[in-house]
Amino acid sequence: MSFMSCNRLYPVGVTFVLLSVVFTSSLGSSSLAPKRPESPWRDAGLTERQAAAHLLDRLSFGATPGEVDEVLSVGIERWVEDQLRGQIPDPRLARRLRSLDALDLSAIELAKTFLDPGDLLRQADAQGIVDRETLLGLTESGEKGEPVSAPERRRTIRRLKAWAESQGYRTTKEMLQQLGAQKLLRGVYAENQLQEVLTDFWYNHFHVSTSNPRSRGFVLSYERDAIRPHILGSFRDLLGATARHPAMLLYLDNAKSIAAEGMPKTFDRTERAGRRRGFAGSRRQGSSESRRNGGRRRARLSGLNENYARELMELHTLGVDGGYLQKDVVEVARAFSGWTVLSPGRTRDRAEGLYRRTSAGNRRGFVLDELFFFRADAHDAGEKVVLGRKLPANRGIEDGEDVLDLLATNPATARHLSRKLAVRFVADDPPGALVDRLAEVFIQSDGDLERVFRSLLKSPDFWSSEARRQKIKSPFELTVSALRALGAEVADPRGSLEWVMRMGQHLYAYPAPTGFPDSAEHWVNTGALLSRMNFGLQLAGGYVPGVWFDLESLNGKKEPESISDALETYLSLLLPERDITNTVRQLEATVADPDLARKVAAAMPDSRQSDAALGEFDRQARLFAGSSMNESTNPFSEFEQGSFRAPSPVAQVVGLILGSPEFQRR
Amino acid sequence: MTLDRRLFLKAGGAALFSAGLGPSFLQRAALAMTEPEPFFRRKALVTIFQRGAMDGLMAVPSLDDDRLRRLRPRLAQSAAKGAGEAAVLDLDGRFGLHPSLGPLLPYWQEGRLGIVHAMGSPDPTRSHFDAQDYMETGTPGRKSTSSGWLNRVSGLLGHEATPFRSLALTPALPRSLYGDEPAIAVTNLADFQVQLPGASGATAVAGQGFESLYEQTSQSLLRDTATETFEAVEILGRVNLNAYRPAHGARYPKSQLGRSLRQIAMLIKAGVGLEIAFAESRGWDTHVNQGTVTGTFANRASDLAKSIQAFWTDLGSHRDDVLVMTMTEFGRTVRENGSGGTDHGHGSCLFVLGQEVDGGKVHGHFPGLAEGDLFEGRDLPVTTDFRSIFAGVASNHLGIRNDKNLFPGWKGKPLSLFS
Repeated sequence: MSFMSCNRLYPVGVTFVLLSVVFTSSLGSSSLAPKRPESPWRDAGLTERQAAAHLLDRLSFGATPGEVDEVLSVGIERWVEDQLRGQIPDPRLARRLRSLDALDLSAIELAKTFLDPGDLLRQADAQGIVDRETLLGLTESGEKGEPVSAPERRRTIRRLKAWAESQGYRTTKEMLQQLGAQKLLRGVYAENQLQEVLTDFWYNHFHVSTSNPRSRGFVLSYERDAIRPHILGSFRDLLGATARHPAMLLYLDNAKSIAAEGMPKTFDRTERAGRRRGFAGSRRQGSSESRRNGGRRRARLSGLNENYARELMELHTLGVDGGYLQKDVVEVARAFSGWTVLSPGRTRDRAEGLYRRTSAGNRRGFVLDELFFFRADAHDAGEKVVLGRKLPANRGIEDGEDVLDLLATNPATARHLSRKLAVRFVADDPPGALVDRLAEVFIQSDGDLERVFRSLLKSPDFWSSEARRQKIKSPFELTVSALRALGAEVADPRGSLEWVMRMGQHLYAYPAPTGFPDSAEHWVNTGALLSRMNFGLQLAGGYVPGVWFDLESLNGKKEPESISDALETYLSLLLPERDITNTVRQLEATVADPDLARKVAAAMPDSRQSDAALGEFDRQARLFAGSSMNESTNPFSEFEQGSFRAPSPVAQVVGLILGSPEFQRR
Repeated sequence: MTLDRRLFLKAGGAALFSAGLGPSFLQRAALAMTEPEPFFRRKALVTIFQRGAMDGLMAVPSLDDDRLRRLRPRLAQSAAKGAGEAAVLDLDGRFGLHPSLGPLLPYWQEGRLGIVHAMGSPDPTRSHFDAQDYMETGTPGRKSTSSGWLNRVSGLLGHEATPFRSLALTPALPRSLYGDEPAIAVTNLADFQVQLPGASGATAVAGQGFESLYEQTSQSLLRDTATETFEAVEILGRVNLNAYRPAHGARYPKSQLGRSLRQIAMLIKAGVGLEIAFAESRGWDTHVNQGTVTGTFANRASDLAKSIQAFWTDLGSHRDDVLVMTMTEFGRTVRENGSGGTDHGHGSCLFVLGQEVDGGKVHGHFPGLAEGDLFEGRDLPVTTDFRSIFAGVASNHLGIRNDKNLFPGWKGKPLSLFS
């Protein structure tokens, strides 16, 4: 019992009974087939177990306890088919996500419900609930503001809160917490792991950052509605969904891109002045933003914005050397002028009403599709030439759609995307021949992502010894794979997410539209590597808030005979089918030498032993543990009492394994 | 100074070699410390980003122009004699200095502190997000630049990678330091060790275990980075963070910025090869009750000035190697708003402090505040592109001549702020 963390018990017996039941019936079919199906992993000289372990490293976020055997019992080919289909029933995941109510709200409902504090206050001010200026004045110490008493201020804030609650308003921050929570929980628990891996991949490809205040409120819907449904569908659909989504339109500023002055418009407001105003929303587009950004005055929309056009070609499709010129950027920006967002509010209500009352033939080119709004009165209707292809004059939304068609079928796009997929699933520097082959499939299949992915799985390169274990896990992959390997119960994902950030990955918040670079060099640096080791140690030692596991259950309730035994046992449990001989040899001396601890501790500077030397994070983690969990479920009550307990030898061994170079690889 | 050469050799050297580390940078450092010219005495650029957009017209108001007073009835301050001890400090008859920035005045008088006024980005955005982005990548108007300008500085310097070459005292790496060159983000250097709360014995064993694992891994990136990491940990272990006492009676404010600069000073003095440091000062977005000689702005300014003062005092003779530069994403409206504050504007000013700075001068061109001179009729225009300042600093202080690679697509000229 020495190694069992006393109050971190959790049954990990929940297994994949369901899986095996579902697929037993289909097991026979492939083995009855007249000839042996092509099997790239056999050709690469892998055993079935090695192949399963490799698949779990690449198509999932890492093996759970015993999962290699489960894959084998389903059959490798069958397992891959199930992952590609992504339809495995997953009630366990659904249960875990149940409390995250934002996940079920439509994009419009989300935008109506979750507000930034500033918008909330503005709403309350508009409704006469509180006086914004007074309240804001109260929060500052300037001597010229009206002196209002602290109790009065507290009363005002209480009134504001009560009102917000009665209206059902909540903060954007809360939505972003749910977004992070669902990502971690899906990563750890989803049966359809490939769906999660590919959602992660394509989100990163079409990255929208929550560091941008304009787009952050739409990111949850973006991932769910624009990315997730298309990850194994047609690339053109995926591209189109991102192009129209408010998160992207706001993030890359297309929402404020309008035809340059003097250009003909699809619908010319001035020509028809006096008749009717067209669709009202357009006039005040972005007005709340202008208040935030520019003070009192209404924002003046000032012509084309090229941001989206450039990133669309450079990042989303052709790639940086994809053969487009600055001239093309401008032409593409013209094609997308007028593609904007109609956010909830009075303006939207008016425009929506008008739009619905107008018959389709009479809408003058305006298109309202959920939050997406095509403003015919802001669209440059002149002729355009994109990559040598002429887009005729006097059109509307078709211009942008045609550009998307052009880009989605361009060979440079096929190559760019194929290379990115190969980097993610094969190696940081994938063989050029593989990229060529995938690009060919991409072109032939008209951008059918499932077919491209299948051909990747069939390629010898995917299974080659050069590829296996060659990817360094991102901090998210490392965290999730460790939780999966331990069969951990994540009662509160925040502690784990904090570690993802600490290791260098602020999820959904990479500061550039490029998304996180997918290379070992990006993730492995001095500070981050140290955090990875500490993560391993602290997770295994039970110091990550909200996470429970039982190391003894992992080993079938058996206590290892010796520390060396523990080392081998847990290495093969946590790193199935890896060659662990070196790791065992290197660690054996360290963990077995009873004198070592004393020797090294004596050489340590005193500061490390004092509470003052505790990192900021650990201090916060303690507070956090206290605030996020109630007494009975709080496994960190020892922290509160200030008595620290060294982790058991087995926890220490597991910590070393999780922080080891081998565990950083997949 | 906690870690001097003698102490390093006495306490550091022996323990270090016995720990079995390879012939690595720390050993070279130990050797270098016996030489007359320290190996790791390098030029360091210390940057402070004032997030939220500092009101350059309140920090360094123009004195010979009464338009500011008219447009800011509640915010304008006076340099007149009768205004009491909190009056605006007269810099050169033309410009003043906010009284809360007073701790910096001696440096101005010594000619070490330079100011660049009406500086900023050629991009007109008034979004914090975009403007900070542009300033940190050094590519106004272009969002997809993947590296930050300070990271490119580090690359162009081309010095051997040492763990603490580029450091941000921030929870996450700032955009300025993103890129190919290694950089560390840490808010508290005490975090920089293998640690388990309260279990130092176990921690030590783990540290040993990790060292031996990473030393022998076949993956060279992991191996090399780990070598650096353990060296860095070792260095900090010797520095003895908790016992650090600032020199020359320097007193750092107990603010985020004060703590950041204190740790930067510590590393500079420890000779760990720090070249680029990044710290933040937050809270400059003064839309409401900005205040005058007291209030929000004054508090922020006071923290900034006192932190820099403590840092500069603490550095002692290391000042010869260090340049401090502030930056902020844009300025604020010339006119005050209805809430006793100012809104997002365009041009602002920045401070440069260093022994070789052509100080005691307001550099750049201040166009005045006449209605016709204002940007979009409301803001101080930008007459000095921030890139020409950054390029000048990189060139004069760090010796980087290649501004084409530092600021891709930029065709301007570096501004010389150095005598």
